[in-house]
Amino acid sequence: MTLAVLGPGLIASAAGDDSGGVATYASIGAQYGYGLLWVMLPVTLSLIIVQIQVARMAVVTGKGFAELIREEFGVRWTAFAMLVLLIANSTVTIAEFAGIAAAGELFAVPRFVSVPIMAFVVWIIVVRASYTVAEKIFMVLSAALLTYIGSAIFAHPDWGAVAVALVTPSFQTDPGYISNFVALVGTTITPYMLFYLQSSLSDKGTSVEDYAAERTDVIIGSLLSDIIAVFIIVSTAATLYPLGIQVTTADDAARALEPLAGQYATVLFGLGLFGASMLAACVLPLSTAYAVCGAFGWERGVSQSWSEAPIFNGLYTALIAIGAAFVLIPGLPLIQAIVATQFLNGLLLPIVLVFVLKLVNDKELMGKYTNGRAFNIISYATTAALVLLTLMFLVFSFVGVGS
Amino acid sequence: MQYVSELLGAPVRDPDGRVVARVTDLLVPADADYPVVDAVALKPPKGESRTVPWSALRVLDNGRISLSTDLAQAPAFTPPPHELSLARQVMDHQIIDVNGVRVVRVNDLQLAPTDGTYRLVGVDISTNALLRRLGAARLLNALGMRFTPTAIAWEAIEPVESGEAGVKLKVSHEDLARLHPSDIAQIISQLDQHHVREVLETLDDEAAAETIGEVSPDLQVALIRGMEPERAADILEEMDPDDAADILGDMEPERAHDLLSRMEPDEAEDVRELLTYDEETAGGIMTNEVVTVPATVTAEEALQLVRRQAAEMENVYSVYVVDENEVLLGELSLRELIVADPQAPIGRVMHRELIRGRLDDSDEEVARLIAKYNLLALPIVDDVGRLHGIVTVDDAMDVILPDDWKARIPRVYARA
Repeated sequence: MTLAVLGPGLIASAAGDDSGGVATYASIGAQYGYGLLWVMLPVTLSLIIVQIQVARMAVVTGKGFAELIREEFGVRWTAFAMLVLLIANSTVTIAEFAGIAAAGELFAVPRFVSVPIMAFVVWIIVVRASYTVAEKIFMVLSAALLTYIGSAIFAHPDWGAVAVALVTPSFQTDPGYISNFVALVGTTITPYMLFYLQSSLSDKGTSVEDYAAERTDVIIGSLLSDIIAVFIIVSTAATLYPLGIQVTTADDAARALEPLAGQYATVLFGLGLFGASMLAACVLPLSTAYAVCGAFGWERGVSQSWSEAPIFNGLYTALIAIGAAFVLIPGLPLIQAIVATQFLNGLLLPIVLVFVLKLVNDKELMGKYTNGRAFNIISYATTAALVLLTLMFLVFSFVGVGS
Repeated sequence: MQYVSELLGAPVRDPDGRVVARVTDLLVPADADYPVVDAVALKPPKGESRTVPWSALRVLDNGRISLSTDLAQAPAFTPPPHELSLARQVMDHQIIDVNGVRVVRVNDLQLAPTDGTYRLVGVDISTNALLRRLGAARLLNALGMRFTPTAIAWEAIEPVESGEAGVKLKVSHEDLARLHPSDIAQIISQLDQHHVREVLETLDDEAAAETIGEVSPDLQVALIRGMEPERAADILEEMDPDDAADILGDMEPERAHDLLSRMEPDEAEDVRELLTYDEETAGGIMTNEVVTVPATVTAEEALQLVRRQAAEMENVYSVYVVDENEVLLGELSLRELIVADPQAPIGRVMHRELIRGRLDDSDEEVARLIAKYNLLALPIVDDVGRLHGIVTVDDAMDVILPDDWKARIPRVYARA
């Protein structure tokens, strides 16, 4: 299994470059040029820090995230956490199906055809648990998105300006900017990837001795996926931003690949987007169902029938159905919808971060492996920043400050 | 019936009726079938938690809990060695339901009022308990939705928790150890790996070997890899060479070599031989522990030879007759050997027309042969007819039917 060769840290990070990631990075580059590039540095640092904490929890306790919440905080907080997870993962599933629809439209397949068919395909893959083959196919397809790196280079951006932009903070107070800011954070650090990372690490039974290796894995994975993110932003910033073209459809996003791929830009982007979306769509509903059922002690397992595991089967089916149905809302602007889901993830992220911080600092639970002060400061700062941004967004939306 | 969830957080009053603390935990002896609540942990609004013996409290008729003295003067409680904290270690944690052969999560605990104290009698694993703790039970009941409470008697369960990180609670797994290895395997497949290792530590080498032999291949490798090498080697020796070979074959070569070097040379030899075969061939699924007798003996002598070999072997239902070069000449069942005339030369009793498999036949071909001819075991020979091993019917079944419950939650989705 290709994914088993890569570590869970790598995979969890690769999950960040799904349709949500691509759509958000591409549209931010087109809309703000290099303006939001500086955010990638602190966000990457935050991502690495929080993933290390999650990995540490997995290795020291041997348990998954939802399980820990249940055991340490009880049923009520678990219900709350699972609700947050369900909302977050539903929106990401919507984003994946929107990605599938957008990719389909690049090949002139209307969404009313592509979405129901692929929803059914996802369901079959889940039910048959034949993810290994599917996974390989979709991983190969999504590799097409690596062309963004080449395109960014071939677009001959002013690398000096890029470097400056990476380290120069700037800010605007209009709600649109803030919401894109939050979406950028939410798509780079998704609640989903934190749950997933702890699940896969604790299931592997990684011991404390292997922790150092896992930590390296996490760091490399985060760096890699965020480097790709930077390249995506730079490529649309260099090609679309100067022309004032926003990314409203997948077509626009594909145009950024033209410097490298020329006439094949659309095909490459379409295949890449399709692969990345399908990859995530096959994993998300099942992963969520496993987490929720595990937290509440309900029967779970793909080999269980509907009568044996009704809630489990119902959950992942419902997630697929909701994801697909939402995308079929007539006239839904796909790219904007995807970015909106990442914004929602960014809003929910502080909640998950607080859970992580409370657990990882619990001496009884973690023994001597609680956080050092630096980790706590960075994580609390990230949480505070997100909450502050959310408040600013609400306030400025109401007050109507705009640019 | 009192539920622990209802007691946790309940106010505790001093003799004057003022609320001085809240219940944060209940302590019971870990080794009793239906233990009585020994002590209660109390947390005052300001200040440290205190643990007081239950005898310092009284439950009044109106349900209120009252201290018989002031909180400061209440006697301290020193927990005896095997004490279980219900809130910290049992509520919301996983436990092993030995009778039901499964791992479940505690949604609530049932207490029976007895002589002024409470006795822990059962574990509630129903959704009803969840709803009750969410405060939603009454609402849903009013809407007509009822969920049946499902309780397991406390004596039938074994707690899994081991206390604080690094501190192990000695939990006896006697009941668990008495189960059939396949059942133990089913249970440990549902536990996380830290707990699985604990459970395995309480099993002797033979039981551990049988249990590990029944879990999924991924888990087998993870368990052997995570063990002390000496113990791992001991367990591998107890296993059939083909099972041991499967595990070592999936491991990193250095680790596998290390374990092989710690095993008894004969056992290691057998395993090494099996490791040379491709996994999906007859050689890869066969075991090379076979009962053989030379062609020159009588039935009586053969039976004695079989007795000596049978002590160490899994499958003795078929006895194979070989010549001095190990070439397979014939076979007979143990039954046929027993009913034969003791003086009859073995050559006359054995069957010469044999179904046999070749070393490089595919595992599916072998399974087909076993199914078609209704065999208990299929002898595997090389190009010149030398007997190398047998494929038993259970290994053939594994080829055809992957056990549902053995398929652990796929790693991609993993645990909550």
